[in-house]
Amino acid sequence: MTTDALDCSVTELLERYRDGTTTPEAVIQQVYYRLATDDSNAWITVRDKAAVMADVDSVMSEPMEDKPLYGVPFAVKDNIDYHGLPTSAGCPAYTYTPEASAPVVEKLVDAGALLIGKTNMDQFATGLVGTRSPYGVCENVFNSDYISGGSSSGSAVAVARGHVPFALGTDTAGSGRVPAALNGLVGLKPTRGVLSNSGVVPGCTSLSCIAVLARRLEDAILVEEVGAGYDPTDQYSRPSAGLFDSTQPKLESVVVGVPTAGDLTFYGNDEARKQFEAVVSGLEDSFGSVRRIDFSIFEEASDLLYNGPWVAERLTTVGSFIKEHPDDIDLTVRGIIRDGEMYSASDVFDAFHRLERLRKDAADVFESIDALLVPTVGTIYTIEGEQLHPLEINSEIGYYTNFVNLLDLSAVSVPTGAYAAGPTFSVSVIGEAFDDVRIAPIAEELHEREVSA
Amino acid sequence: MQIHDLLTQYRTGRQTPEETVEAAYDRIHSADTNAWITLRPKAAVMDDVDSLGAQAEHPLYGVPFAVKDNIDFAGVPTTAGCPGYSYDPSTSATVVSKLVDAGALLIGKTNMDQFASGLVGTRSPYGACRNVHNGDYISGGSSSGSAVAVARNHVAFALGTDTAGSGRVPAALNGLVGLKPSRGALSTAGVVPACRSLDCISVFTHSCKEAALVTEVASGYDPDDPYSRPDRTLDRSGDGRRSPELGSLTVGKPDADGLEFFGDAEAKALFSAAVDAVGSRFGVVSPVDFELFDETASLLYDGPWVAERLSAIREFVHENGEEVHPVVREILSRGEHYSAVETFEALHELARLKRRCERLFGDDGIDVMVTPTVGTAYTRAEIHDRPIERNSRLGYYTDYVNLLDLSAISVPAGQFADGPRFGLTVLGEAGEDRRIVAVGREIRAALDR
Repeated sequence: MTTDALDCSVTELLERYRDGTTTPEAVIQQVYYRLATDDSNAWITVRDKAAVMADVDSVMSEPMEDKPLYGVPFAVKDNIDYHGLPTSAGCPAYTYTPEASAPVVEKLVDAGALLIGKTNMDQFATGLVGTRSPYGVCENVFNSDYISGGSSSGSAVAVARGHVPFALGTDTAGSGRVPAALNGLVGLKPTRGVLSNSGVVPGCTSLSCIAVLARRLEDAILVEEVGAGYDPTDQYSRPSAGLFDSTQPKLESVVVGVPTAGDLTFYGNDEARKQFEAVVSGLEDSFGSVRRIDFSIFEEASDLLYNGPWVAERLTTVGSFIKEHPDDIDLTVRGIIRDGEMYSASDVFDAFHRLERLRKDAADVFESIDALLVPTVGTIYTIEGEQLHPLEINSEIGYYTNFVNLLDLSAVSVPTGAYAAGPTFSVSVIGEAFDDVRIAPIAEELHEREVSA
Repeated sequence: MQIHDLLTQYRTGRQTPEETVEAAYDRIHSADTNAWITLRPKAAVMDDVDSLGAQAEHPLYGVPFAVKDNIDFAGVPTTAGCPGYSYDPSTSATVVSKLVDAGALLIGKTNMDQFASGLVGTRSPYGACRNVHNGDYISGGSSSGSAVAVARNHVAFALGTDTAGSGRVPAALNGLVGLKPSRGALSTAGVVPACRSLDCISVFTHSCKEAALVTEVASGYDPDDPYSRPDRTLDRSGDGRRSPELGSLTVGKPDADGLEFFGDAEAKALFSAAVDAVGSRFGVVSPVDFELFDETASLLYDGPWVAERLSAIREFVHENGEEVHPVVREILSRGEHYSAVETFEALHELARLKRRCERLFGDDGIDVMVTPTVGTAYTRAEIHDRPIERNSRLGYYTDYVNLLDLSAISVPAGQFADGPRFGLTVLGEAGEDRRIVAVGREIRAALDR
């Protein structure tokens, strides 16, 4: 029985089940063995091993061919419902216990996946840092001085530490991509609406996506495909309409868009700049051509999200809770969300009009490129440093991620290198809506697997 | 004045565009209608006639038309019904350019409820418009002048705008066809916005066939309008005469709980007769739960979209409040009271309502729906007594259409004893413009039998 079953990918684990190298029962034993000594703050709720073993029994009673995620342990961020387990959204006073699982979670479980528990997060998905939680701060798995990133901090740490081979997070402004990027993982933000948001406590209802964090891109796409499906109970659900049957371009014909040097910022971190330049300089070896594009459209959209009225959308989810329990909320989170109250209806309509223009402009950019390539995060931050300038740093972290959902794009972050200090450097490959599978080979080509823990 | 008649007359040499223009101006000057804000000098139109190319290349060769005064025509002021707001556009609205390029002759800019805020035709410093069949009654609005100009044969067709019914209500009351194409099918570049995310240019004609022709010429993706939808443009079928094969369709109507005539038994009877005609052609007309539409309508008139209206002209209203019509100003001021949170809540609610609507029109549901265009007709005195409440009532069957992203056409379907006409609206999903026009045409034929 190998002891590193959990350090492999989903695909590899399924292979080991198929060839009898290991069994789901053995793997679960390993999961709980690791959890027993875990002090990472990655988890908020862990299910009883006995409950999971009972799930193992029922999964193993069915043939593997019928279960694309047969026996694969996973975690979900604690703003996604699992029946019978509390959902906290990172806030003890907010906690409720849902009777039903989120439809996406149900699909994964029906496919044979084994839910281990609920992971830590920036409270109410408000943050890209992993430090805004009463359940403890998450640390970067390569260097505990550095932030894990967030808000899907626990999901990233749980996968990176080998507790589970994949986890679900959520991503409104980068919350699935950022923690994946810093911890050596693939972070897939599917097209909006492809994964149902029923049973999810969203950041911004109209923008939030369930995200998939895994070691390999093929794992993430597999999970997305299993979880996808139009859900009439989610008003923003969209049919995936051939997404999973997309033809993929030949790499030698791919045009990769990269922001002009003047648009790129690394906040003074030369190491980051070199990491990205290394990726860019190799692009023409792997792909057809590189096209420098004007990033200002995307920057404007990021700014629209960060400095615009969408923070008021968060109040539609947690506004009444904040009114009734003002002291039960993380102070930074409360301050941010309450800012939503200062925006008017006119501000929202003005912003939407601006956004409509930006969407058209972005579509024009994508006429001439197959995908946009950016760093996922421009630099890295120590936990100590982040605490000194929380709002400013959070804004910096979102520079390359904020615009994606607003412009209705798909994105996947893959690690390409590592900083000397330990955390990984990652790039995001961004495509238009429903391009998730189409752009996957581009990201796959760039993915540097050696950096994974 | 009918487009196809004119085109035939020109082709056979029985009439010239000059003669048409002369006759139009004679008619315009023969009565005081308040339909026009700016009439172009006849000489300017005659110059346009001189530079018309060959008829064969111009599908609207020599056809006089008007546009509502919130739509730009180069060289003529745009007022949006407010003298203080007036500006001189250097370029025409995209749609207007297309029509002119097709040979149509712009006669002038028509009167309207100020800032397109109203369904009545009485909210204008340029004077109120009257119903052409009985002057005691409202013309309806906000595209009041456009409707009157077509109904009185000043022009063969006119453009209006339609956010909450402004293209359908005055068509219905004056006995015209009023087509509100799918959102994004006609470019709104060069239009003073009301609710930017909902506004449509509308088309007034005497017949469905003419509406189809004008809309086809006017449609087309416009990169200058972020709301322009390339997937919504009508395909050019060349002569605009071909109608899609209709076959059998499932037609719905509001259920008994949803039907509202505000105590007007005559309107109720007129609708009933119209539904019988629909049934004779399309089979059973099924009642559908109207609650979805009712809830959507109240999101519009009792919700944050008034803030979208305000945001379009906020600066002007703040600096020149006294130049704004008092009723319009009162309505717009409500926009200040809505918060961003309320707006997002309304948007989420709208998304839910849209899903319900999609299911209604889904594979197992209806193909089109028929409703009255307005539940009752008001006199000008009645509107004067209760301007806001009765204006609201005029929107009962129109308010929800753009919010739910549907296409709509109002066709003449009878008349009140007092004179004003009764309109029937055919609703379809977005992109079904050709179908609803064809359905409208068949319903009129069935009513004529």
